[in-house]
Amino acid sequence: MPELDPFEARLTRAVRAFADRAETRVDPISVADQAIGHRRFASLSWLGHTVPVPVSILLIVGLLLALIAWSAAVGGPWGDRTSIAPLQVATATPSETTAPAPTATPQPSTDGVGEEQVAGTGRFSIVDAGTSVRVGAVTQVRGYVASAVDTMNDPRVTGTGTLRLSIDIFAGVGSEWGTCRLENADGAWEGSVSGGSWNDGEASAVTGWLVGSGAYAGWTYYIDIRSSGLQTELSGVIYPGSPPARQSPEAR
Amino acid sequence: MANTSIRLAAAGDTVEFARIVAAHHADMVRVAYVVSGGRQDLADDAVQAAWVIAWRKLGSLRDPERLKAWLISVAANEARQLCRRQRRLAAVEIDVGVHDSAGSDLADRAEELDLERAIGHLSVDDRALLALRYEAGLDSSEIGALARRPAATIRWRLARLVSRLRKELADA
Repeated sequence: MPELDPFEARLTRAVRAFADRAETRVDPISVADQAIGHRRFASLSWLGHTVPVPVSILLIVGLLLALIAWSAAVGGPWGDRTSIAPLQVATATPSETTAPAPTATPQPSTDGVGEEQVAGTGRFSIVDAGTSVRVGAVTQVRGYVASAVDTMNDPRVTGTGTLRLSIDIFAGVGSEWGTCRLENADGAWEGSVSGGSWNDGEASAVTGWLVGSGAYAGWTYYIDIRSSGLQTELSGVIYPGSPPARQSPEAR
Repeated sequence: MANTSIRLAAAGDTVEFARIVAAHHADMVRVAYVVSGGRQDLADDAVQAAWVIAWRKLGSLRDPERLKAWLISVAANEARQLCRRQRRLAAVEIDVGVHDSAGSDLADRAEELDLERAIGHLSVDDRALLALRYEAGLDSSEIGALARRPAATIRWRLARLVSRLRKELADA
């Protein structure tokens, strides 16, 4: 710092005396751990850009890779009942986490016809982490794409899918919206989804109405995706007809 | 050494990152504390948020020699944003207690106390400028580079701020 005039020298002492009252002792490991380890939106280098990525997604990537290896080796948890299509996992996306092979939650199978309440699990992997822009206090993630493998108790909603999301990340919570497409050999489901995340992103809930095509034309799949830590639970209903119109409940 | 440490931390080495935290956390808290007008909780939150940003963006730091200045400016910026969100700060009482003044001239100490009170009542932007200049010891060019503003603008703002404080003390 260049030489200061007497007033500035006193100003410097005053500012430093003010700062002296701050409590600066800290456990650096705890601070670092909070910055790194307990946030859903960790950093990931994508095409030379650092972007925040949901930690739960990174964990799921690890699970997914283990699942693929398991499926290739011994047929995985589904045996001969379900055929999983090859995944379009971006090779540039690193997996920061390794995890043990998952155990599929057994679900009572449906007869696969008519109206149905469905449940199962989803496995997601990042295809494109998108772009991340900080606007004031909000981090805006755009163009985020994940592929999914949904294993449900109903074959109509078991298959591979693509989730495209925009995410606004605030302090501790996030708002997410986009589209979801799920397909298998008989047809596809597609529609918009939206939801939120909390607990620094450790938990999230996204729901939406997906419209059927192919063998599922004329049917709607209401999907509820709930993630908490490593678990992504899927549930919903399949019913004949269209998604509800976005208008007042009294409208017909 | 610093270069290696930053490169390792940017590549995901959490131990190196913790070492960087240990080396710079106190300086960041001191600056954030001044910017926040003496709010310890706000300063702590701002610095924690700054570390999250640092972890994400450490790899983008072009000049490792500027690590400390960069971290301090990130902490100051986070503190400014937190202050703006908490408008009630405008009414915060600034605690300027009488501290150990042994060995210092009483008249000088009284003026410094007046200065501390004046600092507490500045706008958050002015406190950020004071903190970066007089606590962190950055010059106008460095502050300008970090704030992406011309150094001349920073010099002009600093000169105006110092002149105002000088006048306030003279009128007191």
